[in-house]
Amino acid sequence: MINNIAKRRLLREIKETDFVLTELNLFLDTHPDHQEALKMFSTYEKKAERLKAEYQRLFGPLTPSANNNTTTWEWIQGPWPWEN
Amino acid sequence: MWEYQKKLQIPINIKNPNPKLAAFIVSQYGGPDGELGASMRYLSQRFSMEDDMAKGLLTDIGTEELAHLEMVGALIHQLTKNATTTEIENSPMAPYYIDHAKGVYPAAAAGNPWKAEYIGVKGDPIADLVEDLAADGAISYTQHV
Repeated sequence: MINNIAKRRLLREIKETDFVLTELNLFLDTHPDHQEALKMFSTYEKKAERLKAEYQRLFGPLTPSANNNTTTWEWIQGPWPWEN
Repeated sequence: MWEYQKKLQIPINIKNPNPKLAAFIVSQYGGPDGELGASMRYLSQRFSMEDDMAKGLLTDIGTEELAHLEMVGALIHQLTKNATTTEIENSPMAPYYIDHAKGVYPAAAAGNPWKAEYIGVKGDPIADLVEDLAADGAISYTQHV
């Protein structure tokens, strides 16, 4: 239960960070030399990387390529994102 | 190409089944102004864009629309999953249920399956970008009814 709350909280933080990155990505597509946005993108990208590494260490892979369990293919283990 | 990330763009956690709401929301999945049309529109139009800015932008918007499609699918799934047959029978979801049960199928609110006719791809950057503006106008209409 505590594990589930921690998992949900960390995933929420990843989603918030990725949401910022998606918006910055779209902005940068049309403003490729905007220095402030580039700097923000780099800051949030580092944060996302750190959060995802932590999440994947504790709760399993977010992408198939992040499956580093050598005894089982952890990627398929539920719940899947649309399940609650 | 794409690599799937095992997460929704925004959390969706519905506690109470509501087949009536699902029947309305299904149009945002596969209706004329739904997310399937949006993703196919941008991802198809990008091939004939001429400058890198437009190619990049349509690729990234089309990708984000796929994430929206997944969230709308999750909404329909969670709104119907624990609904009883009686609840569905007495809701506007009944006709959909006959053919698709609790599956998530791309159809409009009135039941028409998704059609490529909902989108325009003319191979001309200006025509396609104008079509995008019209489509976005239609979406802001649907999302505020």
